[in-house]
Amino acid sequence: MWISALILLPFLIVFGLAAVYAERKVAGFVQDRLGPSEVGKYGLLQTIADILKLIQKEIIIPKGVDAFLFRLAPIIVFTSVFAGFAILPLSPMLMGAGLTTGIFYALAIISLDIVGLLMAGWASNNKYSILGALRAVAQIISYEIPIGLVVLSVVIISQSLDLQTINYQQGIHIASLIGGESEKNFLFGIAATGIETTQIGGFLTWNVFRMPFLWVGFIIFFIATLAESNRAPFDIPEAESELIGGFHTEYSGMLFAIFMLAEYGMMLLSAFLAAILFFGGWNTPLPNIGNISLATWTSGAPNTIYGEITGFFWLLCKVFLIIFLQMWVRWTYPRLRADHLFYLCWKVLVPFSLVLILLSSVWKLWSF
Amino acid sequence: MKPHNEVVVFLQSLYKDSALLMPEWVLCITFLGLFVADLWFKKQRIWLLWSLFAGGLVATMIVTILQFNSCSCQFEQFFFAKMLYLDTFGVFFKLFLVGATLLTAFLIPLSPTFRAKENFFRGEYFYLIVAVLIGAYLVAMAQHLLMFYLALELISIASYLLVGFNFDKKSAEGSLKYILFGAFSSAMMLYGMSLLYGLTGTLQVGEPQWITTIFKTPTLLHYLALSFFAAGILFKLAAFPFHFWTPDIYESAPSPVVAFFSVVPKAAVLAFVFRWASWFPSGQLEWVYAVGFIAVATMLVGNLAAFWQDNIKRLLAYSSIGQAGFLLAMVLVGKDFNLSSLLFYLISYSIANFLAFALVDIFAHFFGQQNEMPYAIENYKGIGTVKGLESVAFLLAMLSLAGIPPLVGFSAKLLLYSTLWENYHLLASQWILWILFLSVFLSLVALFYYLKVPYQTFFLPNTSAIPLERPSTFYDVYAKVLVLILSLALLVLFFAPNIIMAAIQQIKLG
Amino acid sequence: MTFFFYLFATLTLLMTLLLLLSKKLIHLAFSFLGVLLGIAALFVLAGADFLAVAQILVYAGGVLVLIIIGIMLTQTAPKENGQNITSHSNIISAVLVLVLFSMLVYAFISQPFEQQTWIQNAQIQQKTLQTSTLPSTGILLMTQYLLPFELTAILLLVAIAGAITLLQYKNKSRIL
Repeated sequence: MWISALILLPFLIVFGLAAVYAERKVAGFVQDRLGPSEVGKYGLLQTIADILKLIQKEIIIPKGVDAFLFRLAPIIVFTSVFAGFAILPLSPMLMGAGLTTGIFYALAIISLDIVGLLMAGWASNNKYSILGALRAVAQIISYEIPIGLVVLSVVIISQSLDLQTINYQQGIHIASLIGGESEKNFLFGIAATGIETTQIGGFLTWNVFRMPFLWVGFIIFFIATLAESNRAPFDIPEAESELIGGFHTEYSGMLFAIFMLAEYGMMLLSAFLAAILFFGGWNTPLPNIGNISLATWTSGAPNTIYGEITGFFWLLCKVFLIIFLQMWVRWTYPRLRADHLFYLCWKVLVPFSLVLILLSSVWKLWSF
Repeated sequence: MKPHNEVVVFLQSLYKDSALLMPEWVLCITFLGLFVADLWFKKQRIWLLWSLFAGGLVATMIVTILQFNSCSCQFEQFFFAKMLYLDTFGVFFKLFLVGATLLTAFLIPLSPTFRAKENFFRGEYFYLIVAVLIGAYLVAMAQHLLMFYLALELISIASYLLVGFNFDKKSAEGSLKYILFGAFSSAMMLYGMSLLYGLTGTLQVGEPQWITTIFKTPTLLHYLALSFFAAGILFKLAAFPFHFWTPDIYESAPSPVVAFFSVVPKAAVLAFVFRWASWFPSGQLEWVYAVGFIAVATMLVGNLAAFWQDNIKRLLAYSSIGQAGFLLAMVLVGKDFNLSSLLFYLISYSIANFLAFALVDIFAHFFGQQNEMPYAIENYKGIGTVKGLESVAFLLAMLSLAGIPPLVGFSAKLLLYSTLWENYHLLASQWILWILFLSVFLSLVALFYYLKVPYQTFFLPNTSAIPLERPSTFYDVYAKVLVLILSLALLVLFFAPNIIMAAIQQIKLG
Repeated sequence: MTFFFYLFATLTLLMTLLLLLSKKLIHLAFSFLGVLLGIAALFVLAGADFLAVAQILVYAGGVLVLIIIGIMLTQTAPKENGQNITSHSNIISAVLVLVLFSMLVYAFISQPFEQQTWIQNAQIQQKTLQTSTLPSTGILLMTQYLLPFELTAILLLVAIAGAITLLQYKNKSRIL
């Protein structure tokens, strides 16, 4: 429990540095140019240089801002995002709080960052900032609804809000779970097929295969989390060409860096949640095929060191793949107009996720 | 994870009980049907929506009558996990509520905005009224504080919205005022409920154990909790000291909605109050004092403040406060007497009230052509010569509200006084005698302001230009027929009260 | 456990005081966040984990944001000479509130809560605190409290539909 607490913050900061570099390289790749290449080999030290510069910079508090709220806002934003990491299971043993309310808690605590954004926008005493903050709030609150509904349909399939339980259910180690001894997985989650996949494992027991419509759920979740972390093509709250920088227009130095860190933290958290909810978490993607028991070889039993290492490895692979997807989308699609943004949320994503809940409930009945 | 066995049994009992919720199901279907129809039909829909609305109410009424008939031979029962309680008393109130709503439905076409023949009439108007009725139905049966609170909130929230349906500045202001007052009183009530929960450990009101903890050995905290709880109820009844909102809200809301507010939410809450009153321990008199004090104060405030009003809607608002005082005085009658006097009073009050508000709208439409303030009383000067039938009907409604023979209001008041008199003998409390004297005195006082408008219509010469008589339209004929029916009802029920008394006397509080 | 209770209780009270004493309306709203979070923490300590999370989600993430936006859109520049604190009505209400408050405090202190049977029973069954309230909350909502739960659905539908209707009133083509 405490190890997780010690690991996560340095991990998040290092990830933030690496992700900025990766983003530039991905952008370069997508736009057919090189990206950073001057500082260090392949520009590897570019973000280090950037962060050193940011640390040296003076934190400018402009005249007329509400200085206390101005300083407090980035802290609230980052804290609320970081508090969401508390429930992440990084491997069978390595996890923060094993809450029964797991994913529900994460959704609730992440929603607090809206308050921080509003605070930043208001305290800045700047029209661009307040416009950006209001846009951010409208967008984030709206997109929380499809996220909540999709998570709900996953929860219907897994019958638990605890992310570690959801992890265990999606692999061959389901029997190690307390109360999971008698649980069985079937192909596509339908008991009538008669094909039991409990010991085959691999990708066949992932949630997207236990209930194939969850592929749609993943797409909804992916789109909605992009909007939740204010990333392109949903970056209208901080649209540079219209609003300079939105709610962080007036921020400089480390305060600005904390906002950026929170944004990358949000990306990482949503990638973690997507990997755990849909793609088996720390379970291996390779199935046992007859005597070639790839799943057993590539994922050790829980409570063994080999199990921890493989679990961590597979989870990170999935997470980075999803983050790569997020960056790819950012540099491919143009920014949405505000009305298109809300059309997409309320008239496309929400109805689809409502239907998904209905389908999931029916699907769950077939798995007995 | 398979469901536990006991859960399955529980769900089966809920499934069985849902048959007893038949009237509520019909109402919910009406609600959703109106919702969809409002989205679906774009043109020529005003009467379509209206007939859906009225049809749904008639269907509900039929189902409720069926329930009333089956209920009077069956035993009373708790159902839906003891959330609700079904007895003839509750079902009769439901019948009364749906009847009042149906009258509202017939009042709606008379409102000036409906007559303007907008093809884009808002369907929300109808289904919000249905939502209030759903809440009122559940309040009349509630036996669980959570259920009661949610049903009351359903009434409140739909009411806040309905007040704003004139879509002008005044209406918006009234709606906002109502929300602020309402939220405050709900918060107080919720606080009282949480204290009551802390004191008893259950939200299930009316159980013997609950009654003993609350009423047998009350401490200061019990009294405080009950007073907080009473705040929400008195707010809905528009009783002292939570009556301030009434005139402003009544003035700004559409008249059919006002007529509806002055009867339906009040009656529903009154049903709940009566259940409470039946649990008061008969030996202790402090409950009689408390309720009696509120009743007297409400009567005083309503009847005295009504004098200075020059707006007909405000006058009727204060009149309804005064009438709420009379209704609250009925609570003193308690369980030991038959309930017929209360129910009869309620019926007579609502018929007269609906007639009055229908006429307010008819006159408002008549004045409205060149008048900025169609609800001012001075408009009514000398109108008796032009609008003969309507003016006489207005006189009848006012006389009935004041309690003058030969109108049904007189029989109702007479019943009230006689039950209070009997109760005085039984409890031997001077207090009840004083209440009796005061209410008789205030009835006389009320006569003055009730006759304010008829005095203007019949005895004062007309000063302002009376609009020319236009060719009578469908609406005029409709208005005349409705007024005639309601005025006849006031007369007929005086001469033959047995028409409803026969049904009322079967009613028992479970 | 007791230490944490006092910690969060103090935090909540301090935040409430800040809320009451802050001059700027917006500071008031933000200190309300502290109050809500403190109450959520107290819920956790009382063993109501689901309630705590719901409190954060609904109040801190929803209602509070609504309040803040409301303040942002309606707040005007502060007046030169603000409200006089010692005005006549203020003193009367202060006295009334003080009387009510002291009555409540006295009533709470004098009430023998520990003698109540349901509290005694709860003290005996302290074991329930160790497990999550989530499964039992879910089952209760779907069985005993099914009707109130469904009623909430109608309530929210009415609220949403009505709010949208009132917002559209400027659109004169669709008056009542």
